[in-house]
Amino acid sequence: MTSVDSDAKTVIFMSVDIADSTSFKEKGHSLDDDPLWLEAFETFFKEVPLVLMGQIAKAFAKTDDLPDIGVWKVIGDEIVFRTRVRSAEEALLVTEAFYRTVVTYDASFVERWPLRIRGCCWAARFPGRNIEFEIPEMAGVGYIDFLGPDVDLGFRLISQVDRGQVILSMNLAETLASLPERRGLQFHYVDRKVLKGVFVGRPYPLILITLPDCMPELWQWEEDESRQLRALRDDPPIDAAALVELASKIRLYLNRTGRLDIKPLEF
Amino acid sequence: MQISVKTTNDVKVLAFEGRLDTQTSPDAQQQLTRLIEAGETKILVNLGKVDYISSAGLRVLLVVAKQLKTTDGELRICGLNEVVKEVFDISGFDMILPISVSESEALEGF
Repeated sequence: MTSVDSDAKTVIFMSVDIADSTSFKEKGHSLDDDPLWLEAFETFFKEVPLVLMGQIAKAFAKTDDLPDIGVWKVIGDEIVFRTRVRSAEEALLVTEAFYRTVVTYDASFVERWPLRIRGCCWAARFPGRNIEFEIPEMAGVGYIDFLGPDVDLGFRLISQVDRGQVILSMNLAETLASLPERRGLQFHYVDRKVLKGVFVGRPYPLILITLPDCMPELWQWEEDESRQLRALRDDPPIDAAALVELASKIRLYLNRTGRLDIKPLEF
Repeated sequence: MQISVKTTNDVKVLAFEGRLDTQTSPDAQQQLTRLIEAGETKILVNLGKVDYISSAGLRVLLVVAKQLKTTDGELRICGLNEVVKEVFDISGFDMILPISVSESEALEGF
């Protein structure tokens, strides 16, 4: 395992996942032909990167630069994108594009198949707590991997979000909430959960985002309402300053009691 | 990925052939950037013989369009076949980049 780059950098990871896909695959099994679910999954893997690129183009319409977004991993029914960001403002545009991708694609996907998608967006700083490296077996094909507690977090966090929603890591939510102009992005502190291996066993804040001009249309028709969905629908968003303060207090508490060295995101 | 270049009036016309994806995009972008650095401001990309264009390929087109915009130049796209047209529809790039049916139509008023 070889570290590939010693330059400090912040990377945003974005995961899109098909929710409850196992039961759909079981029901759609056919012995004779291709499985009935195959078309849905092929479509998902083909279309999501294209929709994301379209949303990136719109979000960055007034900037000269464009982030280099690529697929980092495909794991089962999940696509994980990664991109380096050079400022909090760029992180905001990437997050906005990702949110719009999840909400709009969730709506169009469910029109074709009884499947929903959900998203998670998180950030990690390299090097330090996290490392970027090349696996010898994959050398030469340009595959770069990432490891570290802030990287692993996203894979725990995605399972905590309901279909049609986007959840953020605390460090990314804090960064975006600190910006004076947030392009209408709203934060919803809907719950806190203990995530295995995260925050030394202390509960992790579950922070969802919405944009008033791009709200999931299916909320009001959901039959099996969850606590998360009710909080998102009925409670007002958390004030950005309150969110920044919350993140700061959690970090202080964890660094003192858990002997961790968690820092706010840097660019 | 094959790229042939010709000049019509003061427009550089690039005909792409093959797949424009993660593997081939860096080369395509390098060729296009080289033209811009050489002072070209009007570029037309013909995608008629492109088998598939991925999100990485779309990004190349957008980066080049942004590069040209800073020099008051313009990127135009033409000749979308059915496969490529579907990619542009799904991504919304049909509303983002100027697209013409044919090379001659794209060259008009460039």
